[in-house]
Amino acid sequence: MEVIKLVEEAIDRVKEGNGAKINFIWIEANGCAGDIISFLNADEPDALYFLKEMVNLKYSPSLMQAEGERAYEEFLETLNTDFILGVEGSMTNVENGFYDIFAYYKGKTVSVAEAVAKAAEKAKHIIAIGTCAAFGGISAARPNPTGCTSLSVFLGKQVVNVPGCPANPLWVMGTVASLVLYSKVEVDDKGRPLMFFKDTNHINCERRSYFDNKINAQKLGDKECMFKLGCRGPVTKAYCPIGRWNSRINWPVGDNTPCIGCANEYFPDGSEPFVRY
Amino acid sequence: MPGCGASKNKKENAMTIKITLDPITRISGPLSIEVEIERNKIVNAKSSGVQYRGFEKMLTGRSPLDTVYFTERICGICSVAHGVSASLALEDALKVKPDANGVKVRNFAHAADFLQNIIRQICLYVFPDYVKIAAVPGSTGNDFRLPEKFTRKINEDYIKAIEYSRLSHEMVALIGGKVPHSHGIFVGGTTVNLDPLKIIRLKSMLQSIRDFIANNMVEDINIIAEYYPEYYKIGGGTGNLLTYGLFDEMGEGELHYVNPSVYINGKIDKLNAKAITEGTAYSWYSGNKTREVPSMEPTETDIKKEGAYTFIKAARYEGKVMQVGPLSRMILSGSYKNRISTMDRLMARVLEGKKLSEKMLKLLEVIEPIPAVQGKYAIPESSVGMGLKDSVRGALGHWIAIEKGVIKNYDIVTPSVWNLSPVDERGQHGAMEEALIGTEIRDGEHPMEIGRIIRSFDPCLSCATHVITDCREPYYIELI
Amino acid sequence: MDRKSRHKQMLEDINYCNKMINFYNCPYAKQYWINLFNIKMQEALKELEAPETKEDTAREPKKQFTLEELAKYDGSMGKAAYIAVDGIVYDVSWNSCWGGGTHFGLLAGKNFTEEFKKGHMNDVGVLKELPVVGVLKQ
Repeated sequence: MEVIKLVEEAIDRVKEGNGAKINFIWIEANGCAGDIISFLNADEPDALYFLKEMVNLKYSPSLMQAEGERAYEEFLETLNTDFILGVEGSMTNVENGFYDIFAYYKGKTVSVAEAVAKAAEKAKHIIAIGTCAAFGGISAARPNPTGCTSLSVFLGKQVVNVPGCPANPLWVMGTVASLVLYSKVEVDDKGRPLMFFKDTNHINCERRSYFDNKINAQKLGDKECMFKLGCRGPVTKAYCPIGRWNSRINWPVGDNTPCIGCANEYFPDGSEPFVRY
Repeated sequence: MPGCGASKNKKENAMTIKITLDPITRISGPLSIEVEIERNKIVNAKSSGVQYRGFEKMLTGRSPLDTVYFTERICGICSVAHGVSASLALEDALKVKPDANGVKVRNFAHAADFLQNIIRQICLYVFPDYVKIAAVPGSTGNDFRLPEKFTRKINEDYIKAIEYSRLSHEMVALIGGKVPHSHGIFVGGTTVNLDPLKIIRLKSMLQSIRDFIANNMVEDINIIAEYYPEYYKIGGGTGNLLTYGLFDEMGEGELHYVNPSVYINGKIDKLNAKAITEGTAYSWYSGNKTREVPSMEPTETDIKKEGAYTFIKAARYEGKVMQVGPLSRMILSGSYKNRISTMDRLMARVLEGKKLSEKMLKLLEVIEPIPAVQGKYAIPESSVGMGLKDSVRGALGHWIAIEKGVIKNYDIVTPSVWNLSPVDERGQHGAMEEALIGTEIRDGEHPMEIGRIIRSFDPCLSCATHVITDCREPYYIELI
Repeated sequence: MDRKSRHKQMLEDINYCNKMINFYNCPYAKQYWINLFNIKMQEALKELEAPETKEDTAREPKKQFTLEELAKYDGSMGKAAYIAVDGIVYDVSWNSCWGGGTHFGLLAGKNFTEEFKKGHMNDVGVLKELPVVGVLKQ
């Protein structure tokens, strides 16, 4: 499989001694922290193997051992090294970023917005992980109470966008492997890796013969085409029918429900209503 | 300095030390804790949820059927719980009687997500508090008491936990399509078409997960308890317990776990959903009224409010502070002795994992390998509904009000609003703040007790602070 | 000539040839009309295989929809999904962007002239791809 080969090559390169493993800062901005949980579900390679061999995870609020000021100091120390910055969750900067706080350090509150801006200045590569970071996502859903924006809009520059709600661990793995190996990743006009975001879910959907013959599911749980129930597969570029989810076990359409376009620029407002009989 | 790091502000009398810990790592979401220490004892504690998104506002005007997948996005680690509560609220509002087999399958998926939570919370979040872990850089740096052989064992189990928690989520995905944020949990039960192959696959996954919890994790937590026995005496918090029930609709036999109930002042009682209130006296919302749940009154955030220090509201039952979570469920179901402390919470969480995995094996025997039973659910012009069910962290409630066929109001009260609540208008601290107050800090330079007590509550901030009420009709969920 | 009229003429021609075959006893005349009959049949078969062109539909008389009638085609419960923009009624039942008969929260079966102008300011060409099923009654 593409991703495994890519990762194995990256690891060989690292072992050959082309420099030490690059550092990785994983920031959780205004979101549900679902992308790190999704990432922990990675397999072949899994999160442990990947973190041991591919990067040094220097900062991750979910996994790191230090807490409080020491954790913030480890964040600051990493800024002076080579690192990849991964941000999940949306960026909120209204009221000085009050709606999402990163740390309290030496008597001052540090907002996530401030921390991300600091890190983005020095990062070798920047990845927006998940739809909230890539496009605003559900944190920015109408009426967007905390003024959330995507990472690219916040920074004023295009970053690598790996959307998905949450981001599928295969997509994150493949993207980081490409960065570690080639110091770049081929992306489309919205910054999404072409590896995973070239075709819509519709093109490779296993239910195409039902769609092509206009045989429709009447309700969830049916085995036929979900288009008439609100499926957004035809307008969603992602990798779901091929790489699927959770160790390739299943995916929403395979589970007899419509795709809700969670990797789209306009998710969730552009996908509503999700289900319609 | 190594360890948790503390920002010290010496007050005028040089007797009180204020420590602010932010970020609290190895929890779900951003939490800030401020404690005041006098003579090595915590005399005051403020738990601050420092994240806010506003889900209740977002839901207004949307299609009611969207709530299941939408509210799942409140939380990445417990998304299934929100899907379940949202489905229950919709079934109530749409007057849908779910398919019996579908409910069993849904409960199985819900419990599988419990297992994922329990394994990750204990092994990935809590172990590093007591043992230096080699797999992740950095260190908490202090007060590690385990001998080399146990340190090695726990490090090995940390690694195994990554695999077994992933396997737990694979079980959820087999039923739900994907997780986090599943599709197969829905009104009416489930959408997956089961067959004997899927059942045997679930069984084989579950057996290995059950073995890991029952053997490795139980052993590990007992080792930690042996070397840190003082944690059985500190970080208790209120002895008032609350649960919305779990596996309570599975008859009274082996599958049953715990009914909706409360424990107050030595007595167990049935849950009265009308006794719940939410207050904002010390939260960043305008106004100080304590309101019933659900309620509709306009309100806005007020981040300049005098005295406020958190986005979390104060949930109370009959005006009392309550504690929720695995310990509450285990005690209320008679599965654990009535003793509240940091170590009891951790122990109860692991033992609940073992109990649930065994119930799930029995549940699998009565689940029929048949296709999903779903309907085409009609949305009424107007209706209200309520979905109360315990998630892994405790009592989770969703309330929906439909008008003109769309959502008029949506209220959510999560378990962390109970445990992590601020002080209320009567001056009563929330469960976690109370647990911290009175704790003796052994080493002022490295106050390890704070993080350990906090993590025993398994905080989830993305859940606790989703609420935003604005100048429309506010949803104050008041559990009365 | 529109498709319907064309087909009518073809059928008339074939019937006429058939009539002539039976009319003549002379074998040479009969053969002439048999040949003509075969040619007309071939043309008719080709016509049946050919897809309906945009011109065909353009020339057909347009079905008129009141707003009430349009509302019936909201795409729910397996029904077709129609929308109206600038007086023309389009069939979006199988358009990628209209899964479930919905688009960005809009439900089919309505006049979306304003919404279309707002949402597709720079993109009016998308309408060209949609099959036309009628016009909105003024």
